[in-house]
Amino acid sequence: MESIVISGTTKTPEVNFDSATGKLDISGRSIPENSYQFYEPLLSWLDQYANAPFKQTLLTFKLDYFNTSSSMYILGILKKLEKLHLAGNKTEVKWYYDSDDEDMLQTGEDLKQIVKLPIDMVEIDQEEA
Amino acid sequence: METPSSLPNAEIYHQLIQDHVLFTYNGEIDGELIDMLVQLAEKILKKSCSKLKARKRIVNVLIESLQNTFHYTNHLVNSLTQDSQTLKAIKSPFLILYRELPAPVVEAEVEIDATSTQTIEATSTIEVTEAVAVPEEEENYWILTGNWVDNANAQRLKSRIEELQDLSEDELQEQYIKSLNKEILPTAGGAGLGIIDIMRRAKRQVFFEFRETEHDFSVFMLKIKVN
Repeated sequence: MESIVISGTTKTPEVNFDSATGKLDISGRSIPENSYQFYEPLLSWLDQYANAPFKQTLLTFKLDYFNTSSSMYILGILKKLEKLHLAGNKTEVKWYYDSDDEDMLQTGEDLKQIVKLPIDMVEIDQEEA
Repeated sequence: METPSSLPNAEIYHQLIQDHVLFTYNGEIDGELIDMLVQLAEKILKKSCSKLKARKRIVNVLIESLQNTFHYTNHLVNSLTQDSQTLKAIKSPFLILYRELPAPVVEAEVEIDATSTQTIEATSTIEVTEAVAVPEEEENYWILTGNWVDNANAQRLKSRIEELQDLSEDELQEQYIKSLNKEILPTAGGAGLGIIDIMRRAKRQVFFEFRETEHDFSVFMLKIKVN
């Protein structure tokens, strides 16, 4: 199946979903007014991917900012992976947060509480731009 | 030439300085403008707020509250057939970001010579507060937003916020998880999650005010303290 490659904008994240390696990356900021428009294709892609997943799937979130409507879709993505995981596929999530950004850490913890998935919190020490 | 009395005079500038206003906007709003306002606020905060943690939190709350006013305004405007004067006001939410400083440490009074500026009264003084003298950790920031809502919506909104204000931190957290974990994903807006998120980030320091206007509308003001 086709991979998804989307460049980041000031409002939407960079996305790299590679079905051949099982590496799914989302990074940057996700603050669109209409999250549905942006995330719906990603959710559909994941449905398709789940039919023939790579032997292991690693989803990485490296987000700077996101709004609440995005957070609902981020959870939607995690739920798709949860299904994959519960079906016996090796699935892992890395949630990056800046050492100074306790709200980002909190959201990661919140998501971890909702889905049954191995979510690894990874602290980064971001240099000031 | 003397400034016509109908125009804002130098007092407005002094007021902005005195209130430590970092940023203010009043006008029509759309997705592109929100983008620009967020970027502008980030630039300003990089210069005036050295703590990354506070800066991130302020920007997050800004994004959320701007998008809130945008959705409310859109919703209202789409349901209206008002005269153009009222519609113009309704379409124009406002936003103020300012820094609250604790008890000023250094204060100097500058007397203005009444003869040199005609727009300032002889008794006017400007208080100049040295922001440098304030320890960073004591800095609080306030985000104020204002937008119009119809009175039926105002009532609903008011009881919703009051409900949330009564919650303890743990209960608020519980509400957040519940609202986040909805079965059906929203096709527009954040389905009420935004205000809970703001409350959480602001550690429940969120206040509101409704002011009724003519034509069955209220101006809804949200005042959010972030540090």
